[in-house]
Amino acid sequence: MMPRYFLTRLKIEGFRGINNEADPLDIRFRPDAVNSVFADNAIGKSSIFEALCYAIHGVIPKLEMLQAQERPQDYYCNRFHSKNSALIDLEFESDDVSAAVAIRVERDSAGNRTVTSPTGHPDPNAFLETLKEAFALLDYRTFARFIEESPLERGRTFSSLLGLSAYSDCRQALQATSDTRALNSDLEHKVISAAIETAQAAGQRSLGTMRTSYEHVTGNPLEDIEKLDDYAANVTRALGDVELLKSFFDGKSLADIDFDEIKAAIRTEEGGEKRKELELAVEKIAKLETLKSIDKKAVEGDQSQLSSFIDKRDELLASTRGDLFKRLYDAANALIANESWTDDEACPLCESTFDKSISAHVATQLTQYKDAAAKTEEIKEAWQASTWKTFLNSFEQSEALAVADDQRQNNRLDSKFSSGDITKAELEAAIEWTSELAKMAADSLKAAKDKKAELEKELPASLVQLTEQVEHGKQFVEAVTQYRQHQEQEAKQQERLDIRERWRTFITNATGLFADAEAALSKEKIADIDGEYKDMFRQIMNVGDVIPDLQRADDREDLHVQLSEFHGQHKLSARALLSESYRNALAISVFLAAALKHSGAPRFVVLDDVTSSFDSGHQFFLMELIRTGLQQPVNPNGLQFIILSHDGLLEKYFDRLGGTDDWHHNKLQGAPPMGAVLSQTQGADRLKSTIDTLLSAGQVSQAQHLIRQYLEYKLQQIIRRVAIPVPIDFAIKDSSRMVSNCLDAITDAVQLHDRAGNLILDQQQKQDLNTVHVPAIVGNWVSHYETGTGSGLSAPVLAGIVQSIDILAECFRYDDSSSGQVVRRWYRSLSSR
Amino acid sequence: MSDFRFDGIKSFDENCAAFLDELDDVDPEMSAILRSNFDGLVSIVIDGERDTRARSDFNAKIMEALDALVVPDPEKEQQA
Repeated sequence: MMPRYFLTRLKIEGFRGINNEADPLDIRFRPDAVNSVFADNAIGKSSIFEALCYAIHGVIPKLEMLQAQERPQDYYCNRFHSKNSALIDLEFESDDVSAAVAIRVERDSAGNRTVTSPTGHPDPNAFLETLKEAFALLDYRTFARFIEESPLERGRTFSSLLGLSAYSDCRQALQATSDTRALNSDLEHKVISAAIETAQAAGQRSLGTMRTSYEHVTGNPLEDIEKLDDYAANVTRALGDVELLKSFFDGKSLADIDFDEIKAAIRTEEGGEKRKELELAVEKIAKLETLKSIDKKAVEGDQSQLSSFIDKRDELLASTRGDLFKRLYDAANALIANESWTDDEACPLCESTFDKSISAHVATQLTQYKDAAAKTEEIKEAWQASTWKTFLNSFEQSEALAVADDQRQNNRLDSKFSSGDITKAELEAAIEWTSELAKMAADSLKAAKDKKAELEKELPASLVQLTEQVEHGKQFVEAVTQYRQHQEQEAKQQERLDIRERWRTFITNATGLFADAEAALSKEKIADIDGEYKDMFRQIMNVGDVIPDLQRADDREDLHVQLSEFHGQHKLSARALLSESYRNALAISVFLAAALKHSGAPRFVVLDDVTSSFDSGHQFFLMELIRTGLQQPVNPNGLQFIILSHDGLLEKYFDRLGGTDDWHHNKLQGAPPMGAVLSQTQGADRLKSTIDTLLSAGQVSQAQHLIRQYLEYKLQQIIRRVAIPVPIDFAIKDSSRMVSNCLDAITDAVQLHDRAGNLILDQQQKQDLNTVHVPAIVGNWVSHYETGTGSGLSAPVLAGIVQSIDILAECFRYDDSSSGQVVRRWYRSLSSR
Repeated sequence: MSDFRFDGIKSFDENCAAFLDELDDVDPEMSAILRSNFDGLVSIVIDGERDTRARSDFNAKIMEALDALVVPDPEKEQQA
């Protein structure tokens, strides 16, 4: 078994709200007791949780969620620390015989995080890695949303409560990568499909050229493309049998024939400029006839389809209200989605109400924009795959037509179609240009043919025909080469497409496999904690006839929460019936039950303000459950609990139990983010010393709240030590009046015992209490600071109050000489030593 | 598809390793690609938040690996 670790000490300097320059906040935790840390709001409690989070996880989620321009990295270190650097010291104790481990995490002003181990742990980073468990740190946000969320979101939250968030994240990642749309886009399915179509179209054009050329050379049709080698041999034979050409073909394959050399030889044989002109005319005719192989009907079909797409897009765009309104609808949609605006029959802009659903209206408007965008995308795709595009490219690039660069339109159209900016007028102009190109090609072909006929009349017929045959032989060879290249390209792209399909099948199956295994694990965990969480829920809520039941869907992540029992009724909606306290009690029960079952490296659980929404009774039951049933060593398999809270009611509970065998309480006080934050267990003496320092420096306003805490501490110490009863509403009275609440409880109890004749205080103590110290504190503190009506006091008067409270406390103590030595002790009660 | 299950006693990393081993039987080549890029996969969703850029980066690596299978690296071929 690997050792598990308790957190025994935390020191923080220069991090978040804790400045404490050269005097770190120092909090110790006991592994064998529940540890509580109380701080009023804005005193640094959250900074403690964030420091632990940063030390273990390397980030603070709240800051990571900020936008980059908000520079979250600037808010990790305390902004008033002169070095703008932070230091977090952690000490851990193992639950076996393994050595204690100390870890120091530092963040410098440049944001670099370094981890070292003062105790010499060989790999402090790896040690912290082992603490990255879902159960080590729990904040209010994580579990409070548990019941309120949709079954799907709840399933995800639940995964984190069960320690399965990594599985949930991984499954979602697999789902994201196996999503058809993402796969098609990320793996370039469309690009590859388009490349295949292009290669196929080019192959068809080459095939057309081959057919024409073959027929010219051999006089026979090319019928079976599978017999290409045979056809090549036929062309070689037909030309090689001509006496004049024999020497050029002997022993060579068609691909090795140098047709330019042959043409030069024919020219030499015949001689003259007209021979050359004929060659050019024949070459031009062959090239122009290649252009004819592009399917004109397909081009017209593309033009018609694109025209209708553009009409539809324009119609859709006309139904929208432009970019500014789109931004407005997007913003409204975001407001609705994140529930910032919940009144569905009111406008979030002007707040006027109307009788239709704002969310439905926004959704309808955004759908119109989405439809227009989809049609634009359709136009782009149709253009890319069109024969028309091939037509324009081939015609404009053809040497036989010699279209000037500034006349060419294909690239410009490509850009217009791709951006979706193409207008109807531009489309029509492009159609016209296409017709012009077709006419130019037809005219050129006719002119070339006329020229050829004219030359043929003037030159010997045999050589004219031979020239033509050689040219077609050359065209045939080139077309065969191109055809094979296109075939190769098509095959290669098809192979790329096939392997993507293979990946799609694989990753889809892998996703299914992972999801099934995760669902089974989750169900197993739910079954494993079934008895425990229901029992904890019963104990926290102190009810027996409301029984929650978690149910995970077989094939989905959805988690449904039902009430299997609700005051005699069955299978009802938990969300509909449970109050906030109940819902949160269920969430914390599930978390605690799962945490107890877990056996990861951290054997501590830090709960940050998890009881914020509990009422005092349920808080009490939860704390008692932790103290008597979950904290180790009371529960031998239990955990070490560290509870952070700013709840004034809970503090009274912490105060009552603090210092007992099974509870260790820390109270934070101070003046963050500029001043220091101190833990009360760092010593009342340290608190008093801080007060003295501040008062000596004349910093009255900073000393005031520390004096209040000191007074409260000392008065509550008297109440605890001397077992003075307090009224039943003592804990829930205005906490800002706690000093007078305590004084009232003490003076009432003293009077009661005095009248009963059993007051243990001696005469001097009673007199000092009633006539000097209580009036001094009431007169100089309560009337000035608790009522809010008096003005501030001077530093010497405040120093006098601190002195008064110390002397007042002495009224409840006596010198005990029963052991032979004089020891100053507290009275056991107001009536006994 | 098999009855593969995660072991509740094992860590997430151990279970992922078992998952990848299981996939080796389904399609070893594709499984090797996923295994090589598993860190990239895990960073696509963190704490329930999807990162589209991370998904694109992951798929870019997958695409590269798939194309390398189709068109083997000539240097590697030569070595083989």
